[in-house]
Amino acid sequence: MTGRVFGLPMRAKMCVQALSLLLPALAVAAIVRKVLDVPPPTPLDVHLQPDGQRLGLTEARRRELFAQIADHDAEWWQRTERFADAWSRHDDYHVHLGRFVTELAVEHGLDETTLFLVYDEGVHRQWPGTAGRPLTPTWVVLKPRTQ
Amino acid sequence: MTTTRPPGVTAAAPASEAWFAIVGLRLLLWLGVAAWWLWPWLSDPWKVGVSQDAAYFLHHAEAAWRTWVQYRELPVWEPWFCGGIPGLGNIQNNAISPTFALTFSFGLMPGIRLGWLLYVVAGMEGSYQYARHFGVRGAGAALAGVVFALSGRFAQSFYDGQPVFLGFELAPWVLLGQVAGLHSWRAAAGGAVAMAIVFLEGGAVATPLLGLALAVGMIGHTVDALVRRNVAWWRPLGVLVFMALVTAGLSALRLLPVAETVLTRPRLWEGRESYDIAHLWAMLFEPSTLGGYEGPGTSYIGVLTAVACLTALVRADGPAWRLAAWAGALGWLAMGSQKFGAWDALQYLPVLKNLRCPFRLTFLLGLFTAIGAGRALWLCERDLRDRLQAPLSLRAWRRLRVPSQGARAIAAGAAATVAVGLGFVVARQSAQFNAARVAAVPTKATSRWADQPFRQSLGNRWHAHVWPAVHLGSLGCFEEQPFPTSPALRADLAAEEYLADADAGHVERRSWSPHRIELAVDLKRPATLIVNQNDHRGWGSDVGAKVKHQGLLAVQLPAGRRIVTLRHRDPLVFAGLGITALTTLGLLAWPLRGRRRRDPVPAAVPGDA
Repeated sequence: MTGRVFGLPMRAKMCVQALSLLLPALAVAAIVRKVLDVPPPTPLDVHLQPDGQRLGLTEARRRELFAQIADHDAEWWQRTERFADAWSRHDDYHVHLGRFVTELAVEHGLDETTLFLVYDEGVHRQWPGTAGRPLTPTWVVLKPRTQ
Repeated sequence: MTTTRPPGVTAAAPASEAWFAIVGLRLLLWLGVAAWWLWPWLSDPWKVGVSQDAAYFLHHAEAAWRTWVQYRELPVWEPWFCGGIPGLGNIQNNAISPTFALTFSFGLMPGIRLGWLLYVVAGMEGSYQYARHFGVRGAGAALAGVVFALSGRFAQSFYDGQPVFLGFELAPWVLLGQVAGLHSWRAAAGGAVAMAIVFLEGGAVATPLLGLALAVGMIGHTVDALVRRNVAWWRPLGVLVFMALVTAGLSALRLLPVAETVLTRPRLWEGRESYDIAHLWAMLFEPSTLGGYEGPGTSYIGVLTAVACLTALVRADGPAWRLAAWAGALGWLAMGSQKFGAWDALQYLPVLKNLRCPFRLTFLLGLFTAIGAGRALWLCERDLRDRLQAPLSLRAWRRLRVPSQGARAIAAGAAATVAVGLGFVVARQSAQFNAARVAAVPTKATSRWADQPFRQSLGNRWHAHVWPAVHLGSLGCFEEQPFPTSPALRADLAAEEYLADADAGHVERRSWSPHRIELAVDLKRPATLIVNQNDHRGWGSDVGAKVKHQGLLAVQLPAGRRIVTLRHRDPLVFAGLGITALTTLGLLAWPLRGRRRRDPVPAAVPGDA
């Protein structure tokens, strides 16, 4: 496994091998330190405050953001009609939704997670969409692709 | 083919071998190279690729992490996706991968990145050791290690957001276990340990493809055994069976639940894929940045690697030709559906018939080509040293008043310097190109974390990593296997546990974990309690009878006030845990037995100096 080490006697060879392991150990410590140097994203406070604030946004602001997403509901469903099966249509709807949420987050200087939570709150609390009705809160059964 | 040495020339290993034989120096080299290659990910671990698969795999990692760290439970059930699906039973899940343990000490994202680093280092050391089995030494073996572990297919896995393919980094260890296993059962057990890790890493593709490579290898070794009579003819088959049993035993904790879901809900694949030789060549050797899933350059190992490998073949080097034969057989499989294709034969085999993307065998084509290149470099170093140490050269040294011992050392050092330089040039071409691809992967910040009572949301599978991080289930999901999901799941419920007959009483959640839900129930009359999660045979209740309500988990309860506890317990997991524990103990106890009876010494490899 270790082969020849400069033709040294066995005991010296073992000492060299053992001491040499200090080098990668130090390298690992330096790499780990560098990796841990970067702070994680700050956690979100998702709890509803007494004044109606959540995620650092007022309810009016959250409703406004949700309305911007919900405005596209009918358009996105219409676009999914190119797919024959229900799962693919739902999945395609979420492609459009995901892209829009990402764009909206950039536009409003918010992070993607906050925007998705605003969308979720709208669906969960049945805030009205464009037609005055809540968005569909259900999904379809999983149907994996086979091609 | 072994070159004939001029008289007076020693048969010592080349000088570069002396440096690479120092384990610490070698590991330092691997770590440095791997850290340089992965630096974009190591220097900022809190980012994720923008591809859907990156979100998918991070979702499962987050779900497993929450289950392990927050709830101190084994991630058998995954309530954050599709309304609840098997966790351990999902073949793509890596919840009990050994590298996942790093996330417990360093946090989820840093732990994942350090796990990647570990795989790349293991890939380099594995290729180095495997190359040595083909008689490659020193700089040649190191070249094989760097070229394979940093090959384009691994860079592509970051692009595709499929870090599970890093399991392929252990391929050399698996193959080394097989070939060394012909002379040592312990070595075969070592290969099986590597194979088990590949499977536990979520190797839905890597495991069967490596199994295929082992089967091809077994045929080759059997032919070899019959022709050269170096081992008993049955030994290659015995090694394969032994490795399969040890792998199955070690990974039983995951294998049993996976086997159940794969057999009852197979991942169906009806597509036919075919790739011609030119396509595979372009994937491996064309430095194209066009990308794509299987586009040119997506398995890049460098033209210089191919040229080096070719020189070994031109020299009619035996081990190089054996590598070429193996690569040829796997290349034939990698071509997929052809008129006389071997891939189509897999259609008649269970599980393997649903394998797709045969081009992924380019992982192994890259390995064999890299070792072939290493073989050429080692032959080059040895020949150069032999020429410099030849009597004529020594006379020249003497004229320069250099003693013969010193002349030999200088000649060996010069040959080693040339070999290391050549190796650097060859490895750099591939490593630099692939490092640029790793650095160019589009990324975004990972989701922010939040704690709140668990409930289902509509979610979004294209941003799947968002939901477990904020402790919400994503009903929108995708899995390769058709796990049963209920159309009655909802994202707008006031409470996740409710009564089918709302007037029958009152339900209140007291505590929740992925595998245990405790509820305070007060019923005026018998009623059905419904949980907004998919039903699974593992769920049970300490009161009443567990039933399925439109595919949802439900319990028929009698009237009265009580605490009801729902628990998820999978007997297959308990059985698997027992088998895994016994196999692990058996392997750990093996060295004790081995002190009394040692395995025979392996036969020398032809061409080995």
